[in-house]
Amino acid sequence: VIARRILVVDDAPDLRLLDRLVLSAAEYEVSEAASGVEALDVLAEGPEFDAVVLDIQMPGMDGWETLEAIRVNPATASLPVVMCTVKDQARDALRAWQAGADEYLLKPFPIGRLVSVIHDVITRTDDERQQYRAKRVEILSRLPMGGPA
Amino acid sequence: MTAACDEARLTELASALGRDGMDELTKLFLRESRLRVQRLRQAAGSPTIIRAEAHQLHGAGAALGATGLAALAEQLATAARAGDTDCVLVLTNGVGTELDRVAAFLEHWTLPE
Repeated sequence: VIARRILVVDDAPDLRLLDRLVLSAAEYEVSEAASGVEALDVLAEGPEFDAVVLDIQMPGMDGWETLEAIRVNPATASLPVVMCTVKDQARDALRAWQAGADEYLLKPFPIGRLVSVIHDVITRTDDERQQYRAKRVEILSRLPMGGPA
Repeated sequence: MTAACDEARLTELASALGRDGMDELTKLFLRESRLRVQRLRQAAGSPTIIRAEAHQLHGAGAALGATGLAALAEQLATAARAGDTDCVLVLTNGVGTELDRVAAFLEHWTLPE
Protein backbone atom coordinates (compact mmCIF):
# COMPACT_ATOMS: atom_id res chain seq x y z
CA VAL A 1 0.00 0.00 0.00
CA ILE A 2 1.42 3.38 -1.03
CA ALA A 3 0.93 6.05 1.63
CA ARG A 4 -0.88 9.20 0.57
CA ARG A 5 1.34 12.27 0.75
CA ILE A 6 0.20 15.49 2.40
CA LEU A 7 2.01 18.86 2.41
CA VAL A 8 1.37 20.95 5.54
CA VAL A 9 2.04 24.68 5.06
CA ASP A 10 2.13 26.86 8.17
CA ASP A 11 4.61 29.43 9.48
CA ALA A 12 4.08 28.20 13.07
CA PRO A 13 6.41 25.22 13.77
CA ASP A 14 4.23 23.88 16.60
CA LEU A 15 1.10 23.93 14.45
CA ARG A 16 2.95 22.13 11.65
CA LEU A 17 4.07 19.53 14.17
CA LEU A 18 0.51 19.06 15.42
CA ASP A 19 -0.80 18.48 11.89
CA ARG A 20 2.10 16.16 11.10
CA LEU A 21 1.56 14.06 14.23
CA VAL A 22 -2.18 13.80 13.61
CA LEU A 23 -1.85 12.89 9.93
CA SER A 24 1.08 10.53 10.48
CA ALA A 25 -0.98 8.65 13.07
CA ALA A 26 -3.57 8.18 10.32
CA GLU A 27 -0.78 6.75 8.13
CA TYR A 28 -0.35 9.68 5.81
CA GLU A 29 3.14 10.62 4.74
CA VAL A 30 3.63 14.27 5.68
CA SER A 31 6.01 16.95 4.42
CA GLU A 32 6.17 20.47 5.80
CA ALA A 33 6.69 23.96 4.43
CA ALA A 34 7.08 27.09 6.58
CA SER A 35 5.91 29.58 3.95
CA GLY A 36 3.99 29.90 0.72
CA VAL A 37 7.19 30.24 -1.28
CA GLU A 38 8.66 27.11 0.31
CA ALA A 39 5.42 25.24 -0.39
CA LEU A 40 5.57 26.10 -4.09
CA ASP A 41 9.21 24.97 -4.20
CA VAL A 42 8.35 21.66 -2.54
CA LEU A 43 5.44 21.13 -4.94
CA ALA A 44 7.65 21.90 -7.93
CA GLU A 45 10.61 19.78 -6.89
CA GLY A 46 9.27 17.10 -4.62
CA PRO A 47 7.23 13.98 -5.15
CA GLU A 48 3.59 14.21 -6.13
CA PHE A 49 1.30 15.16 -3.27
CA ASP A 50 -2.30 14.08 -2.72
CA ALA A 51 -3.40 17.18 -0.79
CA VAL A 52 -2.19 20.40 0.83
CA VAL A 53 -3.14 21.76 4.26
CA LEU A 54 -2.64 25.52 3.90
CA ASP A 55 -2.64 28.18 6.61
CA ILE A 56 -4.10 31.48 5.42
CA GLN A 57 -2.28 34.07 7.55
CA MET A 58 1.43 33.80 6.89
CA PRO A 59 4.03 36.54 6.46
CA GLY A 60 5.26 37.14 2.92
CA MET A 61 3.26 35.03 0.49
CA ASP A 62 0.07 34.27 2.42
CA GLY A 63 -2.35 31.40 1.96
CA TRP A 64 -4.48 33.31 -0.56
CA GLU A 65 -1.52 33.98 -2.84
CA THR A 66 -0.24 30.44 -2.41
CA LEU A 67 -3.62 28.96 -3.34
CA GLU A 68 -3.78 31.19 -6.40
CA ALA A 69 -0.30 30.07 -7.48
CA ILE A 70 -1.28 26.43 -7.01
CA ARG A 71 -4.43 26.86 -9.07
CA VAL A 72 -2.80 28.68 -12.00
CA ASN A 73 -0.05 26.08 -12.37
CA PRO A 74 -1.32 23.27 -14.64
CA ALA A 75 0.79 20.75 -12.68
CA THR A 76 -1.03 21.51 -9.41
CA ALA A 77 -4.31 23.08 -10.60
CA SER A 78 -6.40 20.13 -9.47
CA LEU A 79 -4.50 19.38 -6.25
CA PRO A 80 -6.92 19.28 -3.27
CA VAL A 81 -6.27 22.16 -0.86
CA VAL A 82 -7.64 22.46 2.68
CA MET A 83 -7.40 26.03 3.99
CA CYS A 84 -7.06 26.68 7.74
CA THR A 85 -7.49 29.86 9.75
CA VAL A 86 -8.31 31.23 13.18
CA LYS A 87 -10.38 34.02 11.55
CA ASP A 88 -14.03 33.27 12.13
CA GLN A 89 -15.38 35.35 9.26
CA ALA A 90 -17.94 34.20 6.72
CA ARG A 91 -16.33 36.46 4.12
CA ASP A 92 -13.01 34.58 4.46
CA ALA A 93 -14.77 31.26 4.06
CA LEU A 94 -16.55 32.56 0.95
CA ARG A 95 -13.29 33.90 -0.44
CA ALA A 96 -11.63 30.53 0.16
CA TRP A 97 -14.33 28.61 -1.69
CA GLN A 98 -14.34 31.12 -4.55
CA ALA A 99 -10.55 30.92 -4.81
CA GLY A 100 -10.67 27.15 -5.25
CA ALA A 101 -10.26 25.69 -1.76
CA ASP A 102 -11.62 22.19 -1.26
CA GLU A 103 -12.30 22.63 2.44
CA TYR A 104 -12.13 25.42 4.97
CA LEU A 105 -11.19 24.59 8.56
CA LEU A 106 -11.49 26.93 11.49
CA LYS A 107 -8.72 26.50 14.08
CA PRO A 108 -8.68 24.90 16.55
CA PHE A 109 -10.42 22.02 14.86
CA PRO A 110 -11.22 18.69 16.56
CA ILE A 111 -8.31 16.32 15.95
CA GLY A 112 -10.36 13.76 14.05
CA ARG A 113 -11.77 16.46 11.79
CA LEU A 114 -8.48 17.06 9.98
CA VAL A 115 -8.12 13.36 9.17
CA SER A 116 -11.70 13.02 7.95
CA VAL A 117 -11.46 16.17 5.83
CA ILE A 118 -8.24 14.99 4.19
CA HIS A 119 -9.81 11.61 3.49
CA ASP A 120 -12.85 13.30 1.93
CA VAL A 121 -11.01 15.74 -0.32
CA ILE A 122 -8.67 13.03 -1.58
CA THR A 123 -11.42 10.58 -2.43
CA ARG A 124 -13.78 13.02 -4.21
CA THR A 125 -13.65 13.17 -7.99
CA ASP A 126 -12.87 16.49 -9.67
CA ASP A 127 -16.57 16.89 -10.55
CA GLU A 128 -17.61 16.19 -6.95
CA ARG A 129 -15.07 18.72 -5.69
CA GLN A 130 -16.39 21.40 -8.04
CA GLN A 131 -19.99 20.71 -7.06
CA TYR A 132 -19.09 20.76 -3.35
CA ARG A 133 -17.30 24.09 -3.79
CA ALA A 134 -20.12 25.63 -5.84
CA LYS A 135 -22.66 24.60 -3.23
CA ARG A 136 -20.72 26.30 -0.44
CA VAL A 137 -20.26 29.48 -2.48
CA GLU A 138 -24.01 29.49 -3.10
CA ILE A 139 -24.83 29.07 0.61
CA LEU A 140 -22.29 31.61 1.89
CA SER A 141 -23.25 34.16 -0.77
CA ARG A 142 -26.65 34.44 0.91
CA LEU A 143 -25.10 35.57 4.22
CA PRO A 144 -24.56 39.23 5.17
CA MET A 145 -20.81 40.01 5.07
CA GLY A 146 -20.54 42.93 7.49
CA GLY A 147 -17.87 43.65 10.10
CA PRO A 148 -14.15 44.37 9.90
CA ALA A 149 -11.95 42.36 7.53
CA MET B 1 -9.31 31.91 38.44
CA THR B 2 -9.94 29.60 35.49
CA ALA B 3 -7.45 26.89 34.54
CA ALA B 4 -4.73 27.98 32.11
CA CYS B 5 -5.61 25.17 29.71
CA ASP B 6 -8.77 23.39 28.68
CA GLU B 7 -8.29 19.86 30.03
CA ALA B 8 -10.78 18.39 27.59
CA ARG B 9 -8.69 19.67 24.68
CA LEU B 10 -5.46 18.37 26.24
CA THR B 11 -7.06 14.98 26.78
CA GLU B 12 -8.25 14.91 23.17
CA LEU B 13 -4.74 15.74 21.97
CA ALA B 14 -3.01 13.25 24.25
CA SER B 15 -5.41 10.48 23.27
CA ALA B 16 -4.71 11.09 19.59
CA LEU B 17 -0.96 11.73 19.77
CA GLY B 18 0.14 9.45 22.61
CA ARG B 19 2.49 10.38 25.42
CA ASP B 20 5.58 10.89 23.22
CA GLY B 21 3.73 12.97 20.65
CA MET B 22 2.13 15.09 23.35
CA ASP B 23 5.50 15.67 25.07
CA GLU B 24 7.07 16.69 21.77
CA LEU B 25 4.18 19.02 20.97
CA THR B 26 3.99 20.76 24.35
CA LYS B 27 7.78 21.26 24.49
CA LEU B 28 7.84 22.81 21.00
CA PHE B 29 4.77 24.93 21.78
CA LEU B 30 6.35 26.34 24.95
CA ARG B 31 9.71 26.94 23.28
CA GLU B 32 8.14 28.68 20.28
CA SER B 33 5.72 30.68 22.40
CA ARG B 34 8.51 31.99 24.64
CA LEU B 35 10.34 33.12 21.49
CA ARG B 36 7.12 34.77 20.26
CA VAL B 37 6.75 36.69 23.52
CA GLN B 38 10.42 37.69 23.34
CA ARG B 39 9.92 38.98 19.78
CA LEU B 40 6.75 40.82 20.88
CA ARG B 41 8.70 42.63 23.59
CA GLN B 42 11.35 43.66 21.06
CA ALA B 43 8.79 44.76 18.46
CA ALA B 44 7.47 47.93 20.09
CA GLY B 45 6.42 50.32 17.32
CA SER B 46 6.15 47.62 14.67
CA PRO B 47 2.48 46.67 14.34
CA THR B 48 3.18 44.23 11.50
CA ILE B 49 5.53 42.12 13.63
CA ILE B 50 3.22 42.34 16.63
CA ARG B 51 0.24 41.20 14.58
CA ALA B 52 2.20 38.28 13.09
CA GLU B 53 3.50 37.09 16.46
CA ALA B 54 0.13 37.59 18.15
CA HIS B 55 -1.56 35.66 15.36
CA GLN B 56 0.78 32.70 15.88
CA LEU B 57 0.21 32.80 19.65
CA HIS B 58 -3.53 32.92 19.07
CA GLY B 59 -3.51 29.90 16.76
CA ALA B 60 -1.03 27.80 18.72
CA GLY B 61 -2.61 28.68 22.07
CA ALA B 62 -6.05 27.73 20.82
CA ALA B 63 -4.73 24.45 19.39
CA LEU B 64 -3.21 23.51 22.75
CA GLY B 65 -6.32 24.48 24.70
CA ALA B 66 -4.66 27.55 26.24
CA THR B 67 -7.84 29.55 25.82
CA GLY B 68 -6.84 32.54 27.98
CA LEU B 69 -3.55 32.92 26.14
CA ALA B 70 -5.30 32.64 22.78
CA ALA B 71 -7.86 35.27 23.77
CA LEU B 72 -5.20 37.72 24.98
CA ALA B 73 -3.18 37.18 21.80
CA GLU B 74 -6.24 37.86 19.66
CA GLN B 75 -6.87 41.10 21.59
CA LEU B 76 -3.22 42.02 21.12
CA ALA B 77 -3.47 41.57 17.36
CA THR B 78 -6.59 43.76 17.33
CA ALA B 79 -4.87 46.47 19.42
CA ALA B 80 -1.85 46.43 17.09
CA ARG B 81 -4.13 46.76 14.07
CA ALA B 82 -5.84 49.74 15.72
CA GLY B 83 -2.48 51.36 16.57
CA ASP B 84 -3.30 51.43 20.30
CA THR B 85 0.25 51.35 21.68
CA ASP B 86 -0.75 51.59 25.35
CA CYS B 87 -3.04 48.61 24.97
CA VAL B 88 -0.35 46.70 23.04
CA LEU B 89 2.09 47.21 25.93
CA VAL B 90 -0.39 46.05 28.57
CA LEU B 91 -1.49 43.04 26.52
CA THR B 92 2.10 42.03 25.69
CA ASN B 93 2.82 41.89 29.42
CA GLY B 94 -0.43 40.01 29.96
CA VAL B 95 0.47 37.46 27.30
CA GLY B 96 3.85 36.86 28.96
CA THR B 97 2.25 36.31 32.36
CA GLU B 98 -0.40 34.01 30.92
CA LEU B 99 2.24 31.98 29.07
CA ASP B 100 4.01 31.40 32.41
CA ARG B 101 0.73 30.15 33.81
CA VAL B 102 0.24 27.82 30.82
CA ALA B 103 3.79 26.48 31.20
CA ALA B 104 3.21 25.75 34.90
CA PHE B 105 -0.08 24.05 34.11
CA LEU B 106 1.39 21.85 31.36
CA GLU B 107 4.33 20.90 33.56
CA HIS B 108 2.00 19.30 36.08
CA TRP B 109 -0.74 18.08 33.77
CA THR B 110 -1.09 14.36 33.20
CA LEU B 111 -3.58 12.42 31.14
CA PRO B 112 -6.48 11.30 33.38
CA GLU B 113 -6.64 7.53 34.01
